[in-house]
Amino acid sequence: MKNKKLIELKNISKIYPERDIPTLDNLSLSIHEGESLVIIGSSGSGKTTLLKLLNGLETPTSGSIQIKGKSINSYDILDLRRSFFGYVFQKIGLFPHMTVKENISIVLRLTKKSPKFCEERVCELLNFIRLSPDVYLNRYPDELSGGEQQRVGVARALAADSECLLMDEPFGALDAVTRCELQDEIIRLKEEFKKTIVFITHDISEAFKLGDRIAVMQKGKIEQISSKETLYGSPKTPFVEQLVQTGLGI
Amino acid sequence: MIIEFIYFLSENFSSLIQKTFEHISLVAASLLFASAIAIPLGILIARFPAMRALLLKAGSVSQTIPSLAMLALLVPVLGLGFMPTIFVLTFYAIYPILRNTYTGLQNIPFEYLEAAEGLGFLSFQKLVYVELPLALPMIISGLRLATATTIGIATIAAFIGAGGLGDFITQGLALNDSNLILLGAIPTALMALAFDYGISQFENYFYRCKQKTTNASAWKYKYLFLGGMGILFLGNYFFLTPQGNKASKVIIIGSKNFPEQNILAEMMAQLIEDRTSLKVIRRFNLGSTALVHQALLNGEIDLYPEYVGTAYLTVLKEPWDGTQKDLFIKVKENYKNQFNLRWLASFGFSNSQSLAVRKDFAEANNLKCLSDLAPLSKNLSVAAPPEFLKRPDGLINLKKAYGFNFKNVIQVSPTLMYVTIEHQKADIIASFTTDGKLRSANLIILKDDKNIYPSYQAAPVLREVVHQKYPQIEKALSPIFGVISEQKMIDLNSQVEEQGQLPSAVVHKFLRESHLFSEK
Ligand SMILES: Nc1ncnc2c1ncn2[C@@H]1O[C@H](COP(=O)(O)OP(=O)(O)O)[C@@H](O)[C@H]1O
Ligand SMILES: [Mg+2]
Repeated sequence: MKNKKLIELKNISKIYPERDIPTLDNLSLSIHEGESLVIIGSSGSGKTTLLKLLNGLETPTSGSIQIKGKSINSYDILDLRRSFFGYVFQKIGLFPHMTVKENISIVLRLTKKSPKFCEERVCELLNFIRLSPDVYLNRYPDELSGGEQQRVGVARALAADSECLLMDEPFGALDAVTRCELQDEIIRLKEEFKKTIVFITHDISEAFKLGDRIAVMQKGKIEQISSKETLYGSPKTPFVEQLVQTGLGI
Repeated sequence: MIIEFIYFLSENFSSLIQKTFEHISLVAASLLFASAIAIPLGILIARFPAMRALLLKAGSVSQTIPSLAMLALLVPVLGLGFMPTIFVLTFYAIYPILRNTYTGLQNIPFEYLEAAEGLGFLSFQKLVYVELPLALPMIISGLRLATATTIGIATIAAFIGAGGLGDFITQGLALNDSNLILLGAIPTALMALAFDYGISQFENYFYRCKQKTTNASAWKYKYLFLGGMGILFLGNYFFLTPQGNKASKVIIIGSKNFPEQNILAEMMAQLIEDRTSLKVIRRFNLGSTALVHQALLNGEIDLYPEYVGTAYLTVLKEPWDGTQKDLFIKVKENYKNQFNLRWLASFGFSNSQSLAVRKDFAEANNLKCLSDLAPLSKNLSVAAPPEFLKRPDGLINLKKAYGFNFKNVIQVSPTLMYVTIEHQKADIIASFTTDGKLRSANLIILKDDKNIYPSYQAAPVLREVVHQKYPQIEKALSPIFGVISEQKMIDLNSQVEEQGQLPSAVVHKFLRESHLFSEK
């Protein structure tokens, strides 16, 4: 069960026309159902690009992507974005002219769910992320703290009950305390809803805390992908070793 | 001064309200059209860069075209009234809205677009749910800009008979009446401020509707509100559009843009209203002879007062050397054959050109006609506006015919001419024979006894088809045929020009006192 492949990337390369070196370089990776995979790497190593390839915001220059054993091209890409993946953005990206309720329910409204259903779902999600619907339902994003905003961002990604959450450095801009709280929420989310989570970070301690497996990326390649124990115990490259050590505060 | 103006205001309050409504209708209709064009166009150029540079450049250049020039160019194509006005106003309103729509859409932070795409919005859903709402404050500020200019430019509507507050301003300018000018200018400025305030309030409300109602219904209210405003303005616009009810029994009376024309047109209007069941629409102050004549040919007006000499020289472009006879008959025939227009009988006076002198001076020297002046001319100075000095039918012609040889010729503006003669800086001025200022300046006209000017008999010109359809018009006007003498016309002109009364009031008083209203 643990090893059933949900998504599989094979020999993926991505070359942006305006850049001469590939952003992703012959990269292969499988994501297992129900696992949390943390991708860690320095800025510019291609993490976001990888995530965008998954939900079709970018297309690979070469290589193939399979979801549940079928090519990504055989799916309706909008459908994938709306109901297979949930996306949490680094900059949160809550729409400033919409209330919390409207933000969370936007994907449901795009797919023409009934207002009653939307309202119930939004309350359910608000309760899950520990924001009282009575207080927050009709607030606007700028009436929320950074942490509350990102909670709503997570709720929005969960709205359509997607199988797989894509989270692109979601807590990068938050203070340490809030970040810790939210990390706990992610663990709860995974345990309660059995979601598959692909989580990007540049913070090794976050990776250790959240990841069943950790992929270390460098210059468009994955240097090592393994459990944190293996990563710590037998780093494959000097870069990984160095990374692990900074994470331990050495 | 202020008290006087307030009194004037209260006197003209109902027409102020009407003109304000006309003005608002013009502005609102134009803004509606402009938005309907500019916002989609803005979206288009934000999406597709192909036409962007060209359109924005063309748009900004378009703003530099003088609105009056544009209007003048459009009149031959679109005629008079609402159409060309709305066209011009819409034209000027498009660019600010277009530019701001485009800028608003361009400046949406990337994170929101990225979020919309990541969440699986269709392109048009992204536009409707994210881009337009976020660009809205910018679009509205474009609308504010457009509204301010449109309210200002809408005053030109008066030049082509589309009404609005500009009517007061053009009348005021024509009559040299500052109260009338203020009556148009102040509400125009206030309206610009009020609209600006209204839109900014609306913007706050629209962008941040934070009340605790469920938001779906709040949006519904917003759209209802917008729609309601639109319907209100459009309804108002069509309600006030006279073209729409051409089929019903309506007669449109026009005039050129000076007091005498206003008075004559108003007189015809009041008589027709009094003596027939026709509805009269007034399109006064249309402008030059060519313009008014064109309007008559196009059927945009049905009737206006014209002068035989003007028709002969300016419209028919017939030759004149002082020997031609029976001008009125020739004009009548040619108008009938060429234009299918009908001249009715003369009002009884001729507004020609001649020279005027002070009454006491005339009496002292026993002056009656221009021939009497010739022997004295070498000791006299004459003041005249530049046109009169330059035009072949002006001073040059007079000198030749009467053998004048003036001591001094002073070129002054028409308004300063009277000051010049009152202060005895000149002995003679050029004047129209029914000029209202003759009376207050205590001047008399010397008769053109050698008839070097053609007769400028004034008479109504009516479209023949309208005459056939409503023969009662000629009958209604007949009481003033031959009744208005030069002296009477000077008197009426003076009441309007000098005393600043409204033509409608002056005419009403005249008709009442002369018992020319029907006995009802
Ligand atoms: N749309 C794009 N066009 C061109 N280059 C891009 C584009 N998106 C990302 N890149 C480049 O690809 C590299 C990897 O970017 P990214 O995937 O965002 O890295 P990371 O998320 O790990 O910081 C960067 O050097 C970036 O400049
Ligand atoms: Mg990134």
